[in-house]
Amino acid sequence: MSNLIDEISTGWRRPLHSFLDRIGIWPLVVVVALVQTAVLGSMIWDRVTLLKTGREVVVDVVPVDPRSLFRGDYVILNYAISQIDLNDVEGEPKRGDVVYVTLEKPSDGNAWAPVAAVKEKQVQNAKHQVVVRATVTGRSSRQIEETKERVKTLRLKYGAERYFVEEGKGKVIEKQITDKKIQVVWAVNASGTAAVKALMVDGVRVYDEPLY
Amino acid sequence: MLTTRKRVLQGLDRWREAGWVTEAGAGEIRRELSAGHPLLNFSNTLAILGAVLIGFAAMTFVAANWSAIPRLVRVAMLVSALWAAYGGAGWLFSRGYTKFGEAAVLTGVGLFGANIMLIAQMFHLDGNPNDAVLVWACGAVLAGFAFRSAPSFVAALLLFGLWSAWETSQLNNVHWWFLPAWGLTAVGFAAIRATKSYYFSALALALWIVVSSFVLPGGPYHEIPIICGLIGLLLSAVVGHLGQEADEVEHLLRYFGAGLVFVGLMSWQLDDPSLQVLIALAVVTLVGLIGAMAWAGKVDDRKLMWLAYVGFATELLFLYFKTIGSLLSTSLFFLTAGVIVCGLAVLAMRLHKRSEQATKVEVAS
Repeated sequence: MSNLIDEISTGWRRPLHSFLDRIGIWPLVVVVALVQTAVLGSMIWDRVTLLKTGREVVVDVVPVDPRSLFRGDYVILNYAISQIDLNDVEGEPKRGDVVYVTLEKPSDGNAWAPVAAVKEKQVQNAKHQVVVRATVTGRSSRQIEETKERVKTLRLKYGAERYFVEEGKGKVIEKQITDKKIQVVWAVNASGTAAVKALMVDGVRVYDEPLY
Repeated sequence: MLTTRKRVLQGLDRWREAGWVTEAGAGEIRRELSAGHPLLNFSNTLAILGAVLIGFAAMTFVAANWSAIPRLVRVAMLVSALWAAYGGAGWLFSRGYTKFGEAAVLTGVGLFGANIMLIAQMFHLDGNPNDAVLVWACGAVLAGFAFRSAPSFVAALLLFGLWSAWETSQLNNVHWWFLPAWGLTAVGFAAIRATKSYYFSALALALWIVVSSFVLPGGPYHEIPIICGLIGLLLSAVVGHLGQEADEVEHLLRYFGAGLVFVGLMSWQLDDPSLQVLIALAVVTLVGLIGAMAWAGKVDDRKLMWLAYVGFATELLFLYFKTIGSLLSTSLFFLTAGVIVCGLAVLAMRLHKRSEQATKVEVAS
């Protein structure tokens, strides 16, 4: 059976098999387990470094509660800055494009707000500003309460939209936060990646994430 | 349907009596057939199933996000389980339990994925789930090559498919990166001669071609699967001429080539073409299917015959729903189709008789 594929592949199949036979099973076991462990380790290392060294930014949230099939309960964090006015955006970003959003800390209050968004990568140097990487998910519009005027907005995803909680706890947390002001503390690194570092309820830091 | 094994066993006594097989030969054939005992195959299948279940257990354990155990301990637990799975595989391979060893490797691959999910959960990672699946698939490829394990390559191909589906839905365009990923697993299957997995591999590629023809900007382009299918059929014919050696590849190209052409023609007809185009496509499809039946009969390929029957029934049903204006016109449609098919049946029988006579003449001379 399958002699054509056999014929084509004989040339390289033989050295591959003899190579694997020469190594023997135990070194192969160690190599596979070690490589996979190293990959997992580097993932952890990346995140820990980000949480440790990233700049802290506070952002407002509006939560909803779904469930992830394999990863259990989580709260979807819909940020106030997940929609930004198109007037603040330079160029015409399309769905799937990456944009760099400059957030600024206002003198009144602790929540950072967007001041600009561009497609080119930005360097962050100002003390009261931070640049965060986001992906465009679509366009929308919102109504300004005072003037009843509609402004066009850009919908963004920062890659920090999920907050995982123990099975069954999602609803409890949600109930807790319906009438309270919820904020999230992000850690943002130099390349603009944001990660959830802590949850704030009414301006007080609760659920501070342990590094490990 | 009887398996080849059963059919041979049933015929063996008859063949011995007729003097076609010697007594010793019959014994040897029996011995060889009982080597691949169904119970042994069944236990191997169970082992693989068990491995898949253990993988799901690890994933749901992660999902529960049980805070009674600190998360670093949870990572340590799952990483130790991963080492234990590969270690167990090594032990089983060295003892000669190849299939059980493969099941252990598959468990290891599943645990690698569970670990990735756990880390994503620990750090509230939401960045790009597709990247996590890609990393998982690469881990499966590594295990596949190191342990020469077909189930690992199958897992890798499934994960590459999931990754590609995700990327396609985000891009809204053709995800070309699936091709090198698919190629990697195809090389893996060929390297370990996992002949049963060739069909799975071909199915994955065919699916990608069909999906791509739909998401290509300006699409759907129904011509793409048709052209790819025709190329497959052409290659099948070329391979067929290389001699009997290439049997399996020839079949593979034949089934998936024919399948792709049919899917292309069907999706084109479903896409609301003008009446003339619809009639032309329906005629091409029906004639093509009858041609496939004739070919299947000639080369004695039962699978192709059944595929063509199913295709024929599907096309007729589709046309029935399409033309369902009045019962009278539907009746007329079926009458026409029936007369044509009956005519073809008579033609086929005549051809068969003629070829039988030709063989008789050949034998006589």
